[in-house]
Amino acid sequence: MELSRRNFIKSTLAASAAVAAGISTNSSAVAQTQEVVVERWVKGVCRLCGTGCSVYVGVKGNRLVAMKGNVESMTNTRGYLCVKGMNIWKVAHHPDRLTKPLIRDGKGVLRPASWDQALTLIEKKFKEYHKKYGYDSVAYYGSGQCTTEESYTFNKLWKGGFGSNMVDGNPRLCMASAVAGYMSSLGSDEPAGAYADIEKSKTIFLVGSNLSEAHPILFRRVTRHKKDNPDVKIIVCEPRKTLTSSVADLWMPSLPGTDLAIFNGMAREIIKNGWYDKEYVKTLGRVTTGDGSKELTWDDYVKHLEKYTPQYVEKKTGCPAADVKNAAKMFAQSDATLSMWCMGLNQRANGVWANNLIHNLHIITGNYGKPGADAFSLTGQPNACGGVRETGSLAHLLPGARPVANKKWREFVEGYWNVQKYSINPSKAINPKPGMHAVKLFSSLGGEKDKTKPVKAVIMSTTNPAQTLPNVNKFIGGMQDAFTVVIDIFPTRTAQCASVVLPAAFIYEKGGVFGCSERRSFLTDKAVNAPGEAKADIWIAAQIAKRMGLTKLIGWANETNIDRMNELAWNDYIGCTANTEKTLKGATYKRLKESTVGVQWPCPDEKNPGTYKRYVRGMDPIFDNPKRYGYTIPDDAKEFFYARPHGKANIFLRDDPDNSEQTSKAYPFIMTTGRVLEQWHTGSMTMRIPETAAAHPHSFVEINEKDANRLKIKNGDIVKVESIRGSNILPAKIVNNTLEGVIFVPMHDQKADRMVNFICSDIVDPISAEPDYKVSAVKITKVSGPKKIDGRYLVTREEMNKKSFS
Amino acid sequence: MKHIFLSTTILIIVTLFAVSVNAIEKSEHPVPIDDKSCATCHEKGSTDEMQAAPEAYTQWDTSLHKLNGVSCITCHGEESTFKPQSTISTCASCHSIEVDSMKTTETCASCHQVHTFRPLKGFKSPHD
Ligand code: SF4
Repeated sequence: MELSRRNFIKSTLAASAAVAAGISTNSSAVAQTQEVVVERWVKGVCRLCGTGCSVYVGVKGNRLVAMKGNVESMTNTRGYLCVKGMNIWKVAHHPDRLTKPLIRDGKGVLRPASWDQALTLIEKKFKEYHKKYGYDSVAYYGSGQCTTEESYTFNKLWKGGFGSNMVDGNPRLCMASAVAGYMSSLGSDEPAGAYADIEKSKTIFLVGSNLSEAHPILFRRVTRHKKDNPDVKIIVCEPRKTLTSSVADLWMPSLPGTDLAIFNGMAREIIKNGWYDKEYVKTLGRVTTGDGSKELTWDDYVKHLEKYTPQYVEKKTGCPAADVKNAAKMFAQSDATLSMWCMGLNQRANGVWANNLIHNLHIITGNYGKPGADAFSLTGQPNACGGVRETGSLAHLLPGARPVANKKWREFVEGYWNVQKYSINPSKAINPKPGMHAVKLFSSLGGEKDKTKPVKAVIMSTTNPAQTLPNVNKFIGGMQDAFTVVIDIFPTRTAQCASVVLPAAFIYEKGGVFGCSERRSFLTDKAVNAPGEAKADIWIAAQIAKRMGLTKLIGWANETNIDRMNELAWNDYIGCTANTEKTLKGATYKRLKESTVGVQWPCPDEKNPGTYKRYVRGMDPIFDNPKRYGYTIPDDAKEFFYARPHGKANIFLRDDPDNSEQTSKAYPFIMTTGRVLEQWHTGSMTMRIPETAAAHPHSFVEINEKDANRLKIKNGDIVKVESIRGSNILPAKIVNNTLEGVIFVPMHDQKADRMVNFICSDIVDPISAEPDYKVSAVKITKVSGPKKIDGRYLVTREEMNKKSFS
Repeated sequence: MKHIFLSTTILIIVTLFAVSVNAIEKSEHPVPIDDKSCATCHEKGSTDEMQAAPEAYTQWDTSLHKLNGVSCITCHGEESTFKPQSTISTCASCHSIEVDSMKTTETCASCHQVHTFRPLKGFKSPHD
């Protein structure tokens, strides 16, 4: 019997090397080696993007040594991983890991301290500020990279324990417009469908998403689907012709910030040609405007769209008129159209409206309930959906993603958490008033001497606002002056501003649940111990709870076993949201422990397999017992947006205002920002992985060749990119794949003169408060010819003691 | 030629069985990479520096790997982790179904053209 490789590895177990000769086409010898010793594989999810690829981490002793995709996965089907995911384990044992609490002394130097010293200081400051300035003077700023158990614990501590809604998180910077878009159009946050719609779709509309780099494994699914089904149409609408467009049947260029006109133009074409679904609109649509309270007629909608002729759209957006017609046809005349978008729509001055207009296209063409059809917002972070949106860890929400202003729900949560009994706030209630969104929070953060700043302390976990906030220069002083606590695994720009730095455990050192873009919650098991004195966030939250007199509120505060803490927090969470459409009541910890695919909500009981498609009878379990969730669904309704009155989704009349920063003679270029494939967020992890750091060691500015010619800028020349807020010095990359007048700068570099957020506009969407990272007016000037760039820049332990950024 | 090939293989086997995960045999890229893009030297027609193995680059340029963002570094590492030939563990990060179904005497390159990864003619797929 010939041994298969799997059996060989199993049978030898310690087989560290299997070398064999191969034959290549040019007949040179190729040897492939198996160099990794793996003693056990532990299941989990990738630590990075919102795709939520499921993985196995290879462990030897107490060390991570490898990563492979989970071949049973429903997200990264067949177990594919991108270069970031396959290498992310390497950061766990990086020598820069923070392993001891640090407290900044009077001279500004971060000195090692014990956990007791650090927690005592936090307790003292929090109690002092609560007393002096009120409960809203102390904030929590979380992350779509904390586990669900951690976010839920901090959220409960603040809203239930302190009676303060000063809880926000970095999903405000990336997903808030999608949340408000889903809530206003469909009545309930998060997509109706799932990734499985990719393979069932007939047309895919990718808009405001460079899928090939931001969500590479989903892009792989799209390319495979197209390869297997050449009839499938792919439309890509984006200002840059990226790798994503290489598989497109149609690339629709659009000047950043203008695509609302395209969406209205497509709707106009669809209606004008009679391609809309009259029956669907009649049964499941409702025309409205403003905040949705006033109902209008279909004729009002048609009239509203009159302005958006293909010619108008071309003039406004740069997208050829013929493309608008073509796109409308492909969108409407397919059997199932799937739209996917990301930050290109969300991080916008009109992000919510842009989301509404995509939903409009789906409502008028009936593209939700059938396999392959959906309006799907992709998440950037691994647990922005599960951990922050679903647990309601934003300033205006409560668990179940329901508004804190919703009296009925607030009272339910108060009761469930026993706030009346346990809260330390004399009001003994959850504050009905939303807290501050991220940009407002950091604008309001400052030292005790600054009377204009009401927020005096903040604890920030797993996020790096001193690098990621737009117009970041505006916020650094406040972070340095206030009492700021940073929980992280590495030195960052934010840790550089901190009063106290707490060393965190990495996901594979603590375990916990991540919920990805497609409503799927997946439990990562703890694989190894954290280094030194690094601790899981849930343990840190528990210590704060105990010291603040909230042991009873946080029922897992006295636990010492992290796995048990996670389980208790999860049980509390799924109990709290059991009667909402976000229910994961059936996703018990035991089930999640055993599952290699995770569970998609709604999942009301253990027998329920989880939900692929919402709002459709026979697929969505809410239809089985709508009363339990506070909804009414007629018996004969096959598809029904139950979170909306009468089950009708809103078709919004939305115009195309120019709310973004406008170019001028002095600042004639539009700068847009985004990801590159090999890096992630502020590079604190991916710049420490040799392979991904080498692939993208520093930022650059992408300039259209015609613009470059005019400005006499050549490839590699050093140029200054400048807005009214700040500047960067960057090497130029001359391209012919972007619109004239548009430049692009990636967002990952930590070097002070390459931190793009010094330049970015801090205009926010008036509804979601999400910043407009995608549109800033800038000028570019040549500084010099090509020069060597000090790439792979990382904030070090030493730099954390300096006030200024180098 | 055959002897050199065989002895190289044996040498690698001996070396690798002796190493642990943290002491993977180190290979050096023939010239310093110095954070330059691989295309600088490997892309056909690139004139900046000396031309090296442009066929490999050309093959990769038409591959699904390229389309899906699997670049040189993904399989060959960078300066400090450079490996002239990719390893089975690297392939298994994404292709563990296929790797698990292979016989121990096979490598991916036994049946796939190295840089396009199209199956070579005449080989029966072991992955079914
Ligand atoms: S696509 Fe995203 S989740 Fe998947 S491996 Fe890459 S970074 Fe990780």
